[in-house]
Amino acid sequence: MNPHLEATGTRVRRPLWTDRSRTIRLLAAVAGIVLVVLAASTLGSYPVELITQVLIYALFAMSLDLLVGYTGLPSLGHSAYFGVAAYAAALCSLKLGLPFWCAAPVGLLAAVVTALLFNLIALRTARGYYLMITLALAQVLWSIAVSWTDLTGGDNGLSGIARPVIGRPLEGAASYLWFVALVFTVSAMAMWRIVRSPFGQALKGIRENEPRMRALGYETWRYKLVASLLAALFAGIAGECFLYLNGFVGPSSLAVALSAQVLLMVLMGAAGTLFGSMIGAAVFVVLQNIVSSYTDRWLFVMGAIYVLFALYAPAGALPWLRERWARYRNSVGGNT
Amino acid sequence: MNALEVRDLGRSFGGLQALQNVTLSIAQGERRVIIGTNGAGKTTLFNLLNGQIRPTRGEIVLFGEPITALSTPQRAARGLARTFQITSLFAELSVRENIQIAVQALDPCRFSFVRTIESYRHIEQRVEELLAQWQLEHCAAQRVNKLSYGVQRQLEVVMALASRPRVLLLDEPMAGLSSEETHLVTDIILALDRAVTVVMIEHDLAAAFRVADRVSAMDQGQVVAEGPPALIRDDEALQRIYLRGGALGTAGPAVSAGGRSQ
Ligand SMILES: Nc1ncnc2c1ncn2[C@@H]1O[C@H](COP(=O)(O)OP(=O)(O)O)[C@@H](O)[C@H]1O
Ligand SMILES: [Mg+2]
Repeated sequence: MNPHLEATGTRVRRPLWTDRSRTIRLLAAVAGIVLVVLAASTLGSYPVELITQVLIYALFAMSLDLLVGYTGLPSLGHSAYFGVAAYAAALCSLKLGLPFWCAAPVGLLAAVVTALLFNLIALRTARGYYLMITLALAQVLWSIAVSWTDLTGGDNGLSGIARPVIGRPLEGAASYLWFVALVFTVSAMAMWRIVRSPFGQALKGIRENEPRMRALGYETWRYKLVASLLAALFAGIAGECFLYLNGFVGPSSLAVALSAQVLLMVLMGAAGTLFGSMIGAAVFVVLQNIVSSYTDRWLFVMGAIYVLFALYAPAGALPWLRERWARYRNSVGGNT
Repeated sequence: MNALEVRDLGRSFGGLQALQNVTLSIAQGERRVIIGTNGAGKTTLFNLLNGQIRPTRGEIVLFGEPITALSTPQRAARGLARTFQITSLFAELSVRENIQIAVQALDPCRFSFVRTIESYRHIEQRVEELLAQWQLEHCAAQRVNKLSYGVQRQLEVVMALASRPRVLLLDEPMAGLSSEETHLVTDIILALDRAVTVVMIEHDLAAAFRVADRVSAMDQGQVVAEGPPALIRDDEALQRIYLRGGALGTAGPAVSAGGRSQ
């Protein structure tokens, strides 16, 4: 009876993301983070620092994925939000003597306002220019950080920022990891919510076909603007986690190199899936730690690794792993 | 009050006068079909109506309100929906997601990012309703770019209907469809609530005459004839135009195959 059956095949597929499986995945992810943190904290300070970094970069990469993967806005200035939040929070506590609970929100606000200014400019340009404009604007901030020595400390940056006190000071590497893990989990859940919301669905529509979105009645620039503000907020959270990890912020937190790295993480993981960006960040940070212990030219090696990814896993690590896993399961199934 | 009034609308591309002196009055609930050979300016008319391009002269009035200066989304928000001659969907998303996006387009929840889509029951219900009405449940989870051409064309119409428009512009909805699919689409258009005004560009004259209350014929950027289907069918000037284009005598699927270029 159905006129489409012939054309499209009769296999009826169940939706991939049922409610149950999502709850299970969520619980599994939280349990996984708790286990990793527990395991790491028994292993000494190096793995603890490494995991902390992975979580911070994962958060940073996921925030960029909201733009690159979901909205289709390729930004090469994402370090601006990361760096501005860190600088603003650091200045608040150093120059104004504000406590963490004031300095941290001010830093996030600074990141969001920066995104507002950037995107009021960048979103006016044609889509192909978004990458260049965000790069240029971020460079402006970087050069301010380098040259306005009185305020920013120039190349030396700002140091001596104390970690927050939550019940007790988070001085030990392990206790700070717990803090970051908590921040990461809450932020990741918020981002997952966003991409599953009507707003998130609209972002995907804009990525796929913006003119059609407008014909349907979406004022698309508003969605792109809000997406960039949200992305800046989460990038700012990552930037502040990084600030309190090191007690220091310098121009490298605003640099193009950082924007390029986080873009590589997103692309290596799989743009358009938050989990993929997380994997991409983990792979990137761990590889970077291994490679940089052998050579100073680690960025060069990371570039080469990215080229390998582009050749052999062009859609990113996550789809690649999924495919391997499916093949492995098939071969195991075939043997028994 | 008419649903749609077009007064002396004109648009040129460089030296080419793609549309000139077009004046139309389309009543509420009317089914108006626009026919004409390739390049007559039919799609350009739709692009002007929904604001994708700006007219070089003339005025457009929707339910008494001038909309010539409004943006495309603003016009959509006033109940003007359209489909595209060249299928324009969200290729990497599933059929369900495509419809979801269209359904929520004018709903207050569209800007919400704190709740998941599934928690908006009225959106989900409308999506299910459309999937059932268009017999698309079996491929709801499929990615759109994996669908057959015919199903994509139907989805194109579903998307425009999803947000319950007051005026529906259909740009060659049957082009390239099988006769079965053409019937499904025609039946659904015929079954539409009479509160919806339909303007349809159609090459398949048999289908066009089945749907139309009135027909407007366009040639070289102008409306050259207008009237009830029976009159238009026998209009001699039109016969000549169509014979030049080589079509009217063989009204039917053979004609629709010519309707691909924009
Ligand atoms: N964006 C454009 N730029 C230049 N010429 C165009 C554009 N859109 C349409 N035209 C021209 O306008 C004329 C009418 O085209 P169109 O409205 O697509 O015709 P129809 O839909 O009736 O087949 C054609 O000659 C076409 O080449
Ligand atoms: Mg056309």
